[in-house]
Amino acid sequence: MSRSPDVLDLLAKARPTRLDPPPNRGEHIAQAVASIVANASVVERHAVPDQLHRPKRLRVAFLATVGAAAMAVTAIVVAVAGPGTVPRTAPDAASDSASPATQAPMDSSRLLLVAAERSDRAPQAGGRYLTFQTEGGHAVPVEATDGTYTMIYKIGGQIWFARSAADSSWGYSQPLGIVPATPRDEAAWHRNGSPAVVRITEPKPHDRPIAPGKLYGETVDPARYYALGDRNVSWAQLDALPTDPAALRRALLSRFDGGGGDMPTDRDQWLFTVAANLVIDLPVSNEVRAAAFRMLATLPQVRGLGAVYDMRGRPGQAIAFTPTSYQDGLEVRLIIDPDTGQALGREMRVVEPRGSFSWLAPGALYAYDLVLVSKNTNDNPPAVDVQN
Amino acid sequence: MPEPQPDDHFTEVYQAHYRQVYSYAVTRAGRQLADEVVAETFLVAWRRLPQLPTAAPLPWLLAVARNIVGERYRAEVRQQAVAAEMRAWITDEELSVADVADGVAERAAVLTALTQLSDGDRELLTLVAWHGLAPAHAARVLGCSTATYYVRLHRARRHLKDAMAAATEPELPRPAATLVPKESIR
Repeated sequence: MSRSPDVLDLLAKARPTRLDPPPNRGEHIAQAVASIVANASVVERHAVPDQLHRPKRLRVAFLATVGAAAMAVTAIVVAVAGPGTVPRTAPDAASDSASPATQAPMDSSRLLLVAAERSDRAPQAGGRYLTFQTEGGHAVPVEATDGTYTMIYKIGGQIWFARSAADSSWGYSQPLGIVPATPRDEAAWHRNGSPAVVRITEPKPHDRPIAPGKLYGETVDPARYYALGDRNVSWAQLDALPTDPAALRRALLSRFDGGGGDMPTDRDQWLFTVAANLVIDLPVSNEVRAAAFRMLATLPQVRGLGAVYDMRGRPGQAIAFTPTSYQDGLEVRLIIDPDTGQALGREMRVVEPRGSFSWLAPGALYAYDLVLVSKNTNDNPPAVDVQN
Repeated sequence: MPEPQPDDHFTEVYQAHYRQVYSYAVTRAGRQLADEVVAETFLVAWRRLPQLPTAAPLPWLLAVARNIVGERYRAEVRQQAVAAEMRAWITDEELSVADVADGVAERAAVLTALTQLSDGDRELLTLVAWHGLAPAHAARVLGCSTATYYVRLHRARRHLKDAMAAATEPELPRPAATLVPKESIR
């Protein structure tokens, strides 16, 4: 990305000395540490562990970070809505009536292995650009006369990576509008006068127009664009990922630092998260994606959820990781099209409403990421509406 | 329950990063609250030590600090503290501390422009310029994707540039949003 070092450099040089701790503060490390630990032990005795000081937003940070590749990409697995119907974020019905008839339920490891085989065979061709187009969204609480209702804030993302150094690589994002989450929310929106600008109440109240916005674009540096898990990964590193599932597992685990912050600390759950990150957010080869599916098939806590539709109404099969406990009450699901071996999307649903998600019902969608297009092309990147 | 003992790992993390956490706390909550924020942050770090990333704990620590600042202080209190902090940055005394050869006027201009930006823009810019975070790490602190971070940084940098230009050339009208024809985007 083209930086203008002038202004950031000027700022760096103007760093106030007041940012440094007062002199000789650093000479009493042992004392400072001892006092923190002593303080912690007092807190432990008087509070429910992990509740008092637990940073609520860390999980939200994770939610945003996993979409690292595309500009906050996304997608809801919709278990009950068919193609073309209003997307639902309501709790899943028992997977009955409206499941895609063409897809018999498969157990998760068989599903993943089938998808891996198809992924291996998917065509790949050269072109001037590799383009990766995505849609994402997340649930927001909207102020109403009587409490709040839920809407989904959607964002489109596009990446165009130039194969030749003569071309620039481009990244785009575009607000795709804010829509009621369920028919009930739609009724609430109408009851409140069908406003074209809604007041979102979290994290602090702010107003947003619900209409789609302009396409924003800028040149990007492919070498510094992507993160795998919570660390940057270059295109070359992505290309070098192994295509053998056991080797891929080792390669991914070599980046495992114990997790924490916005990443799971359980090793298998971390692997699930990073593998989902790999197949949803990153432009990996078919072979690497197939290896990721085969690796996921070996994780004992991965389970199949059966046939689902994603937010665009595309049929697929969903899998999820069953953790020992739902740290923040959310479940991450991966939606796969077993016919093509493509990953369609990822969704985060509320299992136990609490903390930052206490306003959502059990089973409700919190966020989604969809892969819409992932291909090599000779087309030109789109013209932007707005370029800063 | 046995009394927890400080271990070497925690001490190392504290030693390596408390200055950075302190700096961040000063930019987010002012010097008067910084010590408290630092203490709270490392308290959380100690209690969640198994979850503290070993390779790069700083983004994790700053995300915790950010969260503490957001949850612990009422917005007005924090804004007042930050406003007072920023006034102190552009006092003669503070400005004269640094390398005199570097141009006090220029430093004053960029700091003044910084104070005119939104809180979000200021945070984005200072994470890079003052706290030295790599983009993926800064994105983690802010809780956004790396891609989104780049977009926001780009915008914030432009705002800073505009604020500096507005201070030096107050007569110039601000151009409307630029529309870029397709031919020119490559």
